Amino acid sequence: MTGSSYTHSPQNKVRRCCLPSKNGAPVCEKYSGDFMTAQIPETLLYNGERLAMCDQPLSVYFELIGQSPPFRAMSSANWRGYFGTWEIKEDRLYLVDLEGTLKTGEEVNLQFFFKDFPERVFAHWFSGQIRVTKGKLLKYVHAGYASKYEQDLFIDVYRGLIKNIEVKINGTAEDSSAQEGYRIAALTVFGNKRASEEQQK
Amino acid sequence: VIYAYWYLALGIATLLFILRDKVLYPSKMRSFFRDQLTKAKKNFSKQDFVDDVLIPLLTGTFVLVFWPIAVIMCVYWLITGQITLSSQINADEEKPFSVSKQHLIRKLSLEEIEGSEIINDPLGGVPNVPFGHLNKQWSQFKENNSADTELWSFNQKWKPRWGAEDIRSGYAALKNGQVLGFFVKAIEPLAGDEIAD
Repeated sequence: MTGSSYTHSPQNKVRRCCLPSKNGAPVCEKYSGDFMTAQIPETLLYNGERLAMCDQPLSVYFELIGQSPPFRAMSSANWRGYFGTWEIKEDRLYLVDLEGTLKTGEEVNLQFFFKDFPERVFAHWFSGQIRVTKGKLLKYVHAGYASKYEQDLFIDVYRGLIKNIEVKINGTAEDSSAQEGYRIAALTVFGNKRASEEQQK
Repeated sequence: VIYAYWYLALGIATLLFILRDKVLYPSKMRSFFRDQLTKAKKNFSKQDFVDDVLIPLLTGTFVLVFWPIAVIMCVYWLITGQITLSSQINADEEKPFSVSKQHLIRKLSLEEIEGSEIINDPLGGVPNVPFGHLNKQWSQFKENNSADTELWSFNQKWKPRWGAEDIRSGYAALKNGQVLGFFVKAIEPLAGDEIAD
C-alpha cells in the first residue's frame, strides 16, 4: 500500500470476522451479522489433509497493494469471489491455487495475480491467526465462518512463517455416522458458471 | 385521494433518507451514472443489468409502496448500529489511513532499507527483490520521491472501518518536515496486551 491516504474496502471485512477464538467467543462479534449466509472456506493442505480454512490471507495482500479485491461475488456463500488453496510446507504458508471470477466476468487463476509464480506463492505479507476446522459438525451457524466443528486448529503466522499450531477440541459429534467436513446449508447463486459448478458440488 | 398523496409523499421522504448519500453528494451520483454508461457501452451483461438496474429499481419501488416496512427496518438498523443518521460517505472519507510524524521511528538510507527487506524462500515462491510480492508498490513509492526526500520507518496502530484494530508498518517519505507519502509493508494484528478493551 502506498500513498498519502488509504481507505478500506468492505469486501475485505470478513478477514478476521466471525471466528471463534481459542476461548470460544467470537473475535469480533459486531460483524457476525454482516454475512447472513455461511461462507465457503478456503482450503488448506496440511499434513496430507485437505482442511477448511476460515480466514482469507489474500485480502491482506490486496490491502497492501492498495487495491480492492477485483472479484465478483459468486454466491451469497462466497462474497469474496474466489476460492484459494493454501499449503503449509516447511513451516511456511503458501498460496498454491486460486480460482476466481473478475468483475468483468473473466475467470482467473494464480498466474493472473502472480505472473511468475503459477504454482506456489509464499504468503510473506500475512501475519495473524488462522482458524482451520477438522472433524464432524457440532453446531451449524448460517453466518460467516461461525459453525463449530469437533476440532479447531489455531495457526499463528508471522510474515508467512508458521510460529505455532494449537489444537482445540470442541467436543464429539453425537451422531457417529455423520459426515466429516465443512458444510453450507443454503446459498443463492449469482448467475455465473463457476458458482453454479460449486453449487452442484 | 389526499391520503394517497400523503402516503406517497412519505414514501418519497423515506426513499430520500435511504438515498441520502446520493442526494447529498451529487458528484458521487454522477460518477455512478458515468460508470454505468461506460459499462453499458462496453459490455453490459445480464448480471450487470440485474445488479445495477433491476435490483435498485425494485428496491426503490418497494420502499415507495411499502414505506412503513422500510421505516421499521431503518429504525431497527439505527438501534442495532448497522446504520447511522450521518452520511455513510462522510464516515468512509473521514478515516483514511495516513502516517503521522509522531509514528516515525528511524531515518534510513535507501540501501539500508532494500538490503534488509529482501525476502527469501527455499521453495522459490517469492521474487528475490526487496519486499517480495510487494516490490511493484515499493518501486512506485520510490519513483515518487526526489533525491532530497528522507526515508523513515514507521509503526502505527490503525482501526479500519471493517475489522479489528491492527498495526501497520513500513516506510514514509519525509520532506521539509512533512510526510509526503508512505509504503506499508505489513499489516499485523495487535498482540493480546495491546488490545485496549
